[in-house]
Amino acid sequence: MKTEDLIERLGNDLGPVKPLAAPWRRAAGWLACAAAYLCGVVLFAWARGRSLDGAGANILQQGALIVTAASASVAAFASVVPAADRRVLGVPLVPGMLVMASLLWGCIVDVRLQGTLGIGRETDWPCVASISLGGTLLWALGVAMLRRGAPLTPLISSLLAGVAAFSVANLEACVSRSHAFTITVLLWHGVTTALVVAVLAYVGRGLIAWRTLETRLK
Amino acid sequence: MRAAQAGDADAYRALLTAVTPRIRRIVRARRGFLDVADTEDLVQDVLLSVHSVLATYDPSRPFMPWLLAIVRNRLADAARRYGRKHAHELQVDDLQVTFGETVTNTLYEGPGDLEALSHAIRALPAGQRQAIELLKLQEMSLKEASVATGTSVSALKVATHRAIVSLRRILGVASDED
Repeated sequence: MKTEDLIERLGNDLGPVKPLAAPWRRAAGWLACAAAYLCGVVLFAWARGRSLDGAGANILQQGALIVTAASASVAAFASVVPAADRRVLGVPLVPGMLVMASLLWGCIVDVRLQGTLGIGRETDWPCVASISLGGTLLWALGVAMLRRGAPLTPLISSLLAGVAAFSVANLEACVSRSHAFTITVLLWHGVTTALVVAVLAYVGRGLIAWRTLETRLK
Repeated sequence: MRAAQAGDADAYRALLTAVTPRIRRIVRARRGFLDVADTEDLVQDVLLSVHSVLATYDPSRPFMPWLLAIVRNRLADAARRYGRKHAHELQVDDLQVTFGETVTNTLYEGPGDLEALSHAIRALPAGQRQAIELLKLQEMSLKEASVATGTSVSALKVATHRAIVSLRRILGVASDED
């Protein structure tokens, strides 16, 4: 097809287009859904008589998780806007490192107070299940929203959506279930998050793609 | 672009027509090794991409950086595709063509010994002989032969295959399966 003919066809295909909201606004929408999920699951756990000892047990870690979720979601939505400032993509690293630092500090405190790191003392399958399911659900919502954007860096966009989603899922797991040793959180939550986010980032690369947008057109 | 986002098709066509030469220049400058058709394909890719993400343009921001970000991204995508494609392709400069070989052009493949073939066909079992006679000698279609013999099409195919294998064996011709 000649380029002039393509332009003619694109003109015929045009309808009114509502510009996307700013990335932080879209992120706020996603975070509202994530907060609803978090409250829903935590209230459900509380209604079933589970103690919410984990809430507020580690303010720094939980605060850092919230900031990670917020910054990663803003970064994810910025990553699908052409010419947006790419520096925002690196921002989630800061709170992410803070989460890691707080976990490592928790391990040191455990050794000092309890005399052991506690490796192998606890299993945490309920957290693995809730983090995997909840995180995947929130990631899917994020990816569905990201598909209304330009797939400039699909892998990074999907990865950031995963980081945001699994930060919220980790927060839910930490609030709903308390752990005797920080190493349990570091290993069980950390490995689950790393594995599932890696898989989802790869899967998302295929979902956020130019060809899916252009196929609609053809 | 604001008019285009509002649905003004003429403004949109005018905009695309105006930016196309610039996109073409960028593609030529960065991918000079592409031929005209590939360059034009890439330009059209960019136009399709622009069209599919019109909603991501913020009217309060300048248009060109937005467009150039898409152009850069599509060029990088095309380079990756090009790399992947060429990693699996083997350039062959001097292809050995069978039709050019002397042997191919000098040997004549005749019908062979017709008497021997006739004897070999008569030596076949009745079903196989009938299949060969109808399908190969009388040149009936499978459907017609099926109606004529009351045998299913698949049974005829099997009988023909077996008959040909038997004939090759009897006549001492090397089979393709050997």
